[in-house]
Amino acid sequence: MKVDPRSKMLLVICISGLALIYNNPLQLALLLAVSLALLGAFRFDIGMIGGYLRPLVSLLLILFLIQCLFTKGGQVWLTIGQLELVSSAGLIAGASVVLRILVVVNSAMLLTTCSSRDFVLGLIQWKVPYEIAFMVSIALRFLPLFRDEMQNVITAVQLRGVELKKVAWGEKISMYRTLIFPVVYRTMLKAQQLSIVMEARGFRAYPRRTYLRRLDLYWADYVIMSLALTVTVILLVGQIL
Amino acid sequence: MAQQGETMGRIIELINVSKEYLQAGDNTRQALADINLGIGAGELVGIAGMNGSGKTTLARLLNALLLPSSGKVLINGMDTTEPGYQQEIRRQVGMVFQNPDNQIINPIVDEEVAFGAENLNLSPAEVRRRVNWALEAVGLSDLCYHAPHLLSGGQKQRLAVAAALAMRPECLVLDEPTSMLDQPGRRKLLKCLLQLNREHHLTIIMISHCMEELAVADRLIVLHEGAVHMDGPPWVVFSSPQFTALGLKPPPIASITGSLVRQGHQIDKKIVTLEQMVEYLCP
Repeated sequence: MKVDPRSKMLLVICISGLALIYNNPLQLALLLAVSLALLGAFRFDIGMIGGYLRPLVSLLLILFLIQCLFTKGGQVWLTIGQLELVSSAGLIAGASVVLRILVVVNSAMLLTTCSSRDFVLGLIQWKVPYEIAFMVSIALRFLPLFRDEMQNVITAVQLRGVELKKVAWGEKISMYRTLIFPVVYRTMLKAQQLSIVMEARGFRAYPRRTYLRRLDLYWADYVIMSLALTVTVILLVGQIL
Repeated sequence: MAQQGETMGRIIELINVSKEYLQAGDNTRQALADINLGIGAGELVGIAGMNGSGKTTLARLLNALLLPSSGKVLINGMDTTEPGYQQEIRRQVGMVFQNPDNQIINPIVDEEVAFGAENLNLSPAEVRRRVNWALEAVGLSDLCYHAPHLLSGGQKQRLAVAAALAMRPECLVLDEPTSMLDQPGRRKLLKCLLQLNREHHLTIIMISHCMEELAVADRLIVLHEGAVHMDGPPWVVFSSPQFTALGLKPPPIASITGSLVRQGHQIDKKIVTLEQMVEYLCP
């Protein structure tokens, strides 16, 4: 069963919206479980989630510690002398922040289960101006280009006898600051060349444009969207009341 | 040398065209100086010249990507400086650039070809027809649903040609399309372009540094320091001493023909390609 990207976008919006409103770790943990279940249902390889989240581990740990240390209230779990370091309120706040970020990141991964072109087409059929939807598509295209350019520049530096892994951290940061200029320059050059090609092919020549493909909503999409909206509204009302 | 395209219906006319670029310190650099040129429908025109001679500037003037500093560029009578004509000019003059990778806009081949036709606000059915026709014309129908970045360099350039063809241009301008391709890729692209010119009567203007590729053209224009120095059939241009004086080298077959002619041998002076030589020697 192929689900329309618009249904997935709505799911992401609903789940992320609830995550921003909930402060209870238990509710956020349930939301996280729902987002993981949805990822599994859309055939996302759950084993890959760890790889995607690994870069965030240190950030999550820092945020957890900050919340623990600076949120006071409830039972005190750790003191140093007279100084209360960790309390139950701090632990709850830390857990909430971490879980919230995990819910938002995991639910956003739902969008990777559809192709970028379907995603852009979905935005367009939702009456998002083509130029903005196209910007999203081009941004997605340019991220790997940026990475490739960085790799090319680093390779060029290595060919000149500089082994970046053996360079001290301070000098490495200074070196990367210098390297970023040719990377940005070359990426902007590619962007300029692409814009010339687009102009040559009549981009924005006429006020309206058509599309080769159209996305159609099927019964499964209507069920998913209705369910998502209904449950979200009920939960929101419940939270408010 | 007489300028050709005078007897055919002209689709492109350059009248006293000059183009200057601003440089640092309010200086200007003249890229093109007082060019007068006419290109007829169905011609296969090659443009040669050293780096900095103005070839790319000339190509971009034809599609209204650049506007002339003075003079007029007319495409089927439409002035490129008139904003109201630019849409139609962009449709009538398709462009293919040097780097195949920098011309890919969409992640699927058929959508890449459809991009230009979609911009013309055609119906989806018409867009689909044009996509199918364009892919058929360049021999990429089997790769309709492939990812463009996985194609070879030659395939990517043919894809760029198809993307331009989907707009049903009257003229195709190619700026050094083979410079980043391997031999097989070059051959296939050139074969495709010749077919488009001979069978579909598409006007083709090709800029290249490779004289063997330009030897198949109906007409060869040589630019030097922003001016047209030579304009005529390739066999006339290659055999002229002015050609080498401009720093250019004729293709080997043309050089052989020229040597044989100078030595008094009876050989057709118009032979400039290997195929022509083989056909002459082994009829």
